[in-house]
Amino acid sequence: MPTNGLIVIAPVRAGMETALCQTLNSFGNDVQGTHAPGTVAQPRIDFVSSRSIHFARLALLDDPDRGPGRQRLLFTTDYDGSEADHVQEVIARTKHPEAIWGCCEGYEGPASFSQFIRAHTVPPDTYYIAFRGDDLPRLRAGIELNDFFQRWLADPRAERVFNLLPDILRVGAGLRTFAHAVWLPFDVLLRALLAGMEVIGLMTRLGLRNVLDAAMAINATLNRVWWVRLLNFIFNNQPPPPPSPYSQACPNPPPYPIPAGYPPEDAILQNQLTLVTDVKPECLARLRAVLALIDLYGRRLSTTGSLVGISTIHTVRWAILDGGKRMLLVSNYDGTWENYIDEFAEMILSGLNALWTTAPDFPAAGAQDVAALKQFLRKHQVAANVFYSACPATSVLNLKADLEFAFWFGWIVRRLANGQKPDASPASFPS
Amino acid sequence: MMPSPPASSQLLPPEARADIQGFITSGFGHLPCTACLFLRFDERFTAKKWLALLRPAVTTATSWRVRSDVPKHKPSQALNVAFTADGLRMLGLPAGCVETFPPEFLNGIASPESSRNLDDVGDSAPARWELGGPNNEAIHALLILHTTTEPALATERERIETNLTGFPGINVISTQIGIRPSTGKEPFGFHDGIAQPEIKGIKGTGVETGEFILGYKNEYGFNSLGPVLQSADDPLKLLPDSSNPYLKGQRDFGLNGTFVVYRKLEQDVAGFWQFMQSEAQRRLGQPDPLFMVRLAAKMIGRWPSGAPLTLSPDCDDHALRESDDFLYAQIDPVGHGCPFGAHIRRSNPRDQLLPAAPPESLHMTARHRILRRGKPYGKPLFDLSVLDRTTDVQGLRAILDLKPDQQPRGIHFLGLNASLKSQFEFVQQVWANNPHFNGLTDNPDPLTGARGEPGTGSMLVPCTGLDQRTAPLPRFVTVRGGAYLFMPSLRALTWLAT
Repeated sequence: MPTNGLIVIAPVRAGMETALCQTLNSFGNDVQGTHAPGTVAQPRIDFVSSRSIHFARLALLDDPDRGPGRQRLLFTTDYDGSEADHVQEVIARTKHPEAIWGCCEGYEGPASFSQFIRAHTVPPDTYYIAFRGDDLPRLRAGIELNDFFQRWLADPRAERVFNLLPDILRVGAGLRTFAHAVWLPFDVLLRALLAGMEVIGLMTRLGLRNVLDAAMAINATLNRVWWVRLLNFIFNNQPPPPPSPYSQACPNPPPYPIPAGYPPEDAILQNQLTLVTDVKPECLARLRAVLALIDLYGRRLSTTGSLVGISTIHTVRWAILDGGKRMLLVSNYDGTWENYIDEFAEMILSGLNALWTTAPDFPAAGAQDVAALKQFLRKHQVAANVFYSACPATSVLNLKADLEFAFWFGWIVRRLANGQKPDASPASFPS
Repeated sequence: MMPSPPASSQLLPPEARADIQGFITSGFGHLPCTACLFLRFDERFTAKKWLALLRPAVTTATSWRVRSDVPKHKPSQALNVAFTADGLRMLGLPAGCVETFPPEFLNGIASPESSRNLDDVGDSAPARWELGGPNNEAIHALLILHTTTEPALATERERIETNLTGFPGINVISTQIGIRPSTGKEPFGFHDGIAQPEIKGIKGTGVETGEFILGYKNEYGFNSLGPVLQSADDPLKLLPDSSNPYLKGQRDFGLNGTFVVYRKLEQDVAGFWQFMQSEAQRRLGQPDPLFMVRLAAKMIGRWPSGAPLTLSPDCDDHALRESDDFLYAQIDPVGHGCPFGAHIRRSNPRDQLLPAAPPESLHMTARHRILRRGKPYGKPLFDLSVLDRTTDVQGLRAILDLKPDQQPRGIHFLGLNASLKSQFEFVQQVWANNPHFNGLTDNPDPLTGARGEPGTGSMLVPCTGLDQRTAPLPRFVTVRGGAYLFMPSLRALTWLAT
């Protein structure tokens, strides 16, 4: 079942901003996967009981076009199945919807919730998810299986059991390598073919020049991908060296506040980033091409669990807001904020430049000036009121290993260890 | 790591080295005895007067080689000084300058953010510290003294303390003594302090100077950021103008200085070897000392002699005891030698920060290195040299049934870096404490790493057959004190003393 991303941005009724903020903060922080004590009777969305929602976030964004002090509610989810079913699930899991959705303009009760959501849905221009084809029950089964296996490794008897069947396991590993070797060239060719066709489509839709410029900008530091290296060599495409060794970073930047009651950052494995940046009008056309190309890279050219070599992203999406005045970034990632930004600056520097040179206050030397880049990002970051993750203790790398393990070896090990048949429910194992 | 020929342009000029404190550029390997004197100032004028007298005695980074045909003239002792944020305020640094220090330094090592990043909770929580933290006297300055022998240390320390009595208002809060034994062994019994990044500006090769000294090019290609002072606050022009065009009209207070982290780390040696013994009992049904040494080596990543497991996976090799010139991706890609979870593999992941390729991993690793200047304290619990004689099975039985003797022992950890946040705290939080480092599950650093819920956090030892996992790891290292300090340049010291 494919996983999809939803972005809803609904204006908050004037005067309701504080009340909504308090409501959201009181039910939020469910990232640990358990209900916060004492919140059961309060207004909330019961994400924890869902079997199809991977991530969810609620945050209040400024709404400068409606006037100072006005806000809008950002609601994003990553879910399995159809959008209609998902929207039905969200309203069914909302306790006291009036206290949450009722604070937004256009909400007229649970009966017309679908229309309300549809009216305020913003289609993402770029959407990447690390595990596109794996639904939540499958991910959870993989995690559970690997947890079981890891516990088993701590058992001294494990080795004796293992010694009974090393050959089968080796055959399994050999099969995997063989299958990879046979399938890989076909896979690469197929992906490249489909991507090529899409690029032609993009060129007609967004303009040849914009797409070419965007591709050059994104690719400039992606030399670890062989075909990008070839293209960069042919077109002599490389990022300009920094103009000077002096960072633009301010020596005493304003501290980044995460107010009390908001989900803390860096406290657990997974984190979230919400960012709203301004877009220079003259850059909009190229920005659309950049977003379309990153979307294409994510869908067609990336392997499971890796966006061109970056394996800290669970999901990320960009959307152009307000008729092109602003750009929204929503990402769910592993590890600390510092590590996340550092890894981006190392692995996809030119991608960061392509995305944010469109902002008026981006550092003059670009993302290479990492100290200034971090200040730029902090300045535009919005603290989320609610952040939910269905598997908060598992990194992308863990999940990748878990799924592969479940696919190839899982049932053998479980059967050996338990001396019984593996769980045959379809959710537990890949078919 | 391919050694590149020294490029003279990258080397620090003599005048810069004369401005840099010597503790930054040298571990003073020939001076194994260290005293850390923690000071509190009650009054600004006396403190400044004392500092003015101290300043000429401060050891600089000036090269010990006077002429190329004469052997190096190594000093017989070294004295260096660093200040906390409170100390700098006490010395009259204007608020406008203090604000340009990074927040983690200003808030201090005992702040809730730093405690969370470093996982200083439970027994390691700052509220339980015996030095620094909220319940002890505020630290304003740290005086670091290095000497050749213990008697020399005692004499020199006494001289300094007697001298200080002439300055009422300067109090010695605590004196911590650390001695590096000739074997180089830390209290668990392992040769420590081998891996040390080289500073490009000193050696001509290694990690960019700006990673360890403020004001020079760092691994991001930009000059590392330091605090600045308004020109009006420096009428005597003691400090150089900031060369940064974005900071016109300011004086560079940070240039040639760096940040220092001090942590007093107490080691539970008996608990450490008892855990290895219980694992041997669990796995083999008997307490096998060789198994215990092997498992302990897997946790550290080096054998007791210091030989890296990656180069010598099966047994200790004394010929490799100082060896640090190795990478992982080619010879130890899945950790059959040195596990991913081992202490040395996570404090310096070298060319394997998964899933990045080796060149990118090396680059990212270089952005998060620290200079370590630790010294052990306390008497060894047992004769640590037995660990180096693994053929002497009877001697090795000394590690069996070790009982705690209630004597404190551990390491005075001193680390140097240009950014506490993106170097020291980063290594601790993202690499060491992180149970998911490099794709692991539930495997924190077995020595310094965080311990989550009881019953979680164990060490995965990859094997050629089936991998092995230990029982949940107890905490072997407890933090007993700490401070974040700034070690200024000699010119900045002059400003502070004036």
